[in-house]
Amino acid sequence: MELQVEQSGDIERLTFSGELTIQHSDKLRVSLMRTLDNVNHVFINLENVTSVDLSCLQLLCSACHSSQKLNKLLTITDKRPEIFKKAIEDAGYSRHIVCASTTNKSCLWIENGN
Amino acid sequence: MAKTLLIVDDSASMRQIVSFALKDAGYEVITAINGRDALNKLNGTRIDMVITDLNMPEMDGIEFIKHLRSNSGYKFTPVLMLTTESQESKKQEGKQAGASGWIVKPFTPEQLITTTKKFVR
Amino acid sequence: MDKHREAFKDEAYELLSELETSLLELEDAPEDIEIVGRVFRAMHTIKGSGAMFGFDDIAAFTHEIETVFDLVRNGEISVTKELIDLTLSARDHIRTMLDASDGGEATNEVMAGEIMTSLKKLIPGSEEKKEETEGPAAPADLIDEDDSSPTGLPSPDTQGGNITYRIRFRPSRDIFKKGTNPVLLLDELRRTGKCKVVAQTDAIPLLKDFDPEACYTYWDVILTTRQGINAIKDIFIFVEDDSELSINIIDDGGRLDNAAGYKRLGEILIERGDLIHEDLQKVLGSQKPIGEMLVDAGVIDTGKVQSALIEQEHVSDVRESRRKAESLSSIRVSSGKLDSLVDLVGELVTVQSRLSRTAAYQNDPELLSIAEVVERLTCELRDNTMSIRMLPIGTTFSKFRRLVRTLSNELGKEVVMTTEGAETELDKTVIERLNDPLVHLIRNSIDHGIELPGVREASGKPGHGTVHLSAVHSGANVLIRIEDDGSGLDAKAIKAMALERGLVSHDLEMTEKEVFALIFVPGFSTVKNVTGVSGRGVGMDVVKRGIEALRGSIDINSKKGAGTTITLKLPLTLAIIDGLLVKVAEEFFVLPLSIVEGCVELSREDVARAHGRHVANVRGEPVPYICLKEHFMINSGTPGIEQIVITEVDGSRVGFVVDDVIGEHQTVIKSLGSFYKDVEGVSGATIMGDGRVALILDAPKLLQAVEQEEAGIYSKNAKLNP
Repeated sequence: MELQVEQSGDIERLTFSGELTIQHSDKLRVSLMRTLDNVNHVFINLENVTSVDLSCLQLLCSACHSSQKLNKLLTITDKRPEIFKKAIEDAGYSRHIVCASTTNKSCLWIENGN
Repeated sequence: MAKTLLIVDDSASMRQIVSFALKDAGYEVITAINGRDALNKLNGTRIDMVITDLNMPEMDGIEFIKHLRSNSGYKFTPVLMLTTESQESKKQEGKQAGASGWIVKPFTPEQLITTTKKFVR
Repeated sequence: MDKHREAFKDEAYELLSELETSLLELEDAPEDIEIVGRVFRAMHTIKGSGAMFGFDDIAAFTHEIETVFDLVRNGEISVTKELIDLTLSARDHIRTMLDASDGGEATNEVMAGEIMTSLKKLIPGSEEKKEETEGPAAPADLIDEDDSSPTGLPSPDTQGGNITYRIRFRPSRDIFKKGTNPVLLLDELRRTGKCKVVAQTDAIPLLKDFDPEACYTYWDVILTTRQGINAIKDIFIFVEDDSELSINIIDDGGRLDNAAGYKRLGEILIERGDLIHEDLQKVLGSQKPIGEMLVDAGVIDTGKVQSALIEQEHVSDVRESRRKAESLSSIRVSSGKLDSLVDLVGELVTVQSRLSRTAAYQNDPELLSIAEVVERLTCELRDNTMSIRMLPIGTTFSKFRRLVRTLSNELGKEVVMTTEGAETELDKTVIERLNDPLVHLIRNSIDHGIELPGVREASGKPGHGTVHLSAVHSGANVLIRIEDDGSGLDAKAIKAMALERGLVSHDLEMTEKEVFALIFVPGFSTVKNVTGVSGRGVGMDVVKRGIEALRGSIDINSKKGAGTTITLKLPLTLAIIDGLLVKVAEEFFVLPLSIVEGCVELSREDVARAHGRHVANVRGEPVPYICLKEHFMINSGTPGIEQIVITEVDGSRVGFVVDDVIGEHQTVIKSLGSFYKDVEGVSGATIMGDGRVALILDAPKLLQAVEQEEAGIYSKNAKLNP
């Protein structure tokens, strides 16, 4: 997993590439926490990710909850690679109703659902 | 990209038939003759799954699995035990050590592949 | 396999000679646990591999010795001379068995039995008792005792029917650390049948409490399969001890069906233990859909509701398809066979027509009567054949009733579906290929058109929306309309979206109709969420392509706030049409009789009076006409008096000028094939009695083509003379 961070004002864009798998999940968690501490808007770009596993889907879900709790915005950018969509599908994460813990009616698992 | 599997068994014929079945199903195979040999061969190499016998000289399966799990690179690697032991105790011991599953000898190549697919695509 | 057997034998011989050495060493050092281990492993390998390579007798025999040495290894039996002697003879026996498999000297069964009995005596507390229960370990025993081994093979299907299961699988938190990816188990479930998987995410903690190596997700799965419950449990065999796994049968292939559809959402949730009865009662007072109310009331997570909704839909689907399968007590014939039957009948009609003409020409009474009988039979045969292929569209309509119901429930909308013209017949292939576009259009109407009851009432509409589905014959076409009284299309929003997607440029002036047409452009979708409701990834462009593949067209009318009407126009590609046969020079054409109003003569004087405009005076009314000779560029002289066939096309009258009207003509339409598929104004061809081909005219298309041509000329003129 490679991570590139771009910050401009209140926005941070996290561009991940390579493998988003359990071997890297701690690193992923730490970077998400740090970013949510730093800024109010987080954009996650997964365009160049080559594999995604369940542990990371969970983490992203947790990050989404955490951001709502803090009244911040966390989004995954629109260019979602097929591999990510497939991981969502395979893990049964696809949704068409947002979960109860959301405050602003957004959910990572509803595509373009922000 | 083909998945790479490590087979650890002291019996040459077992290594042969298991490799044969797995290669036939499209997997890459590395073999080792016991736990010690397996650890030497791994040494940081990326591996998608381990299939290991339990009763082996030098280092047996249980001890090998314990070593494997304590190495952060193989913490989440699926490990399948090959066993003739139907006794619950041996299975439990293996699971305690960190094995993911088991397959009881004798098994057919189809059974081996079905079981393998529980852990790697 | 033989190659593997050889490898095993080589290995076994080697192991046996090692075993001999080890046994002799053991005799000198009976306490050496290292040597005991070696002996045990040798036996163990011979047994395990032996069974693998089909040496079942060797495996069974070795099993006993292995058992004994396992006890020695655990310190329960000590090494004695007797044990060493027995094991040595056993070793020799195994060698003989190996030789025998190669056609060597036969084994001595009596001796084998003696060794076995003596060995068993060494096992404390077993003796004869063990003999009784286990007997001489037969190969079958070896396999049987390992009943917990995952076979992975589908268990024989005794029921013969599909069973639907509800599975909740909650793996242990540390499943990742056991090297297991639960998603692969879901994959395995998916391979066993029709499967829907919903992950439950409510146990996922906030980042600060998140253990990156733990599994917090659990799943609800609805599975319809022929497999028994044990086969499903087998999938989870390695994790069942540490996981919560519940498997319930929610549909057993028919026996539990009740007439009133599947369970209510609330019932499902209570049955699953996701909801308590009191909470359900508390929220049942208000009028919103139950799922929404429960979530609003905060008594349940949406993931659970979604999962229950999916269960509802899945079981309904399963039951629906079962009902369909039961109700159609008919034979299945491949449509290819039906097609060739239709072709043959078409040719028979042609031949029959020639026969009738020949009979009339020869005026032989006997031949005439035969020709008459052939004509009658051919007619009946033709009608029957066609009717096989023609189906009333009503069957499809009733299927949509279900869809409407499910969708509106799911979306919390109240929608009534009305239908009209269910008896309208269409070619079977057309109906089949119409299904997906219609499903999509209806979904769109309900998902995006019809508003929520509250919104509707606020804008003065009745709380329930209406989707009206109608089918009607219109000439050689069938018009299918999907009308809703929903919010209508928002031309501004559509254009804005198209701009954003780069489908149109900023400065382009567009009529409302043109704007609406944008929704059919690939890459356009106003769908905010690609949801389970508005079909995943299927856009309106796919609908349009589907309709066009049937040589049909699609038209949208919409008024913001008042609703949308989508009209599909489909040709009866394969049907008998009653036509009017006309002649232009030496060419024959057929006009569908259904659109013909009458015929009038067109004289040279009439043409002169119109000053070159193609308009004729028909009973005091001006009627524009199209001259087929000009349009198809047929070069020939014009007779003094031509004929105008007056037709009604899209509500207005249009004439077609021909040289001669031959008369009514019933005909089988033949497709023109892909080479001519883009020819405007011709919908097909027919072969006449004498073998000549007549083209079937598609009046509306013809009219459109002429209109476009003229518009082109005008605009060109306009540009030339500003």
